[in-house]
Amino acid sequence: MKKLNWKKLRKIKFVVVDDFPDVSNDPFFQKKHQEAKDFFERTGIPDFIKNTGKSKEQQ
Amino acid sequence: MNRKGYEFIRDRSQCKYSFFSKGPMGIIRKIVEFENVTGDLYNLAFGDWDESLQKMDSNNRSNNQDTYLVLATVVAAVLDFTEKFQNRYIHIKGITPSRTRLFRMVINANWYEITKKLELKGLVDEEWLPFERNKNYEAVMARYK
Repeated sequence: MKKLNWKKLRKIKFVVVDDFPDVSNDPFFQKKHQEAKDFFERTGIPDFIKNTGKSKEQQ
Repeated sequence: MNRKGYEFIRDRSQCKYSFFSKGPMGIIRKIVEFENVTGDLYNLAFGDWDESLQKMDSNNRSNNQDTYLVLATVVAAVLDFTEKFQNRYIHIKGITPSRTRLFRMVINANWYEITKKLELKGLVDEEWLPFERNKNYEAVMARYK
């Protein structure tokens, strides 16, 4: 596996748009997300997530 | 060949990213979505958008011969999202074990740069362990350091 070019990776442009495809109820994504939710419901949320102690969210 | 990855767009919620893969199979829109599972835990889903059907393509094998660029862009999306929301954990599991392995290979090949920015854990037998280089994991958990 070739290394990523990190200098160039940082230069990838991020543009915010309004006309984004509506995937909010897409069956494929819903299935993937539901699988994750089922997994964590069965195994429980790991303690390191419950107690992050981190609060520097940048909105 | 441009090795930096594809430029991409994100929606207003900042939880969805999109970019275009370009190759022998044409131009294919890819979408990365971070969905809340609970609290600060988010799940990453990734796939191809079928423009004609206006839905995600569950086949998800575009064979556009640009795996490297696609993975680089997904990594860029993860870095962008976790840098914005630094308390959030991202759960990453491929649609197949081979896809999870591919993502793990990206981490291994870019170990220094990725671990400088992200705290990683790997899943083994339903237990989350500190991520170690060149080990097999069923899924990966990432958060900005």
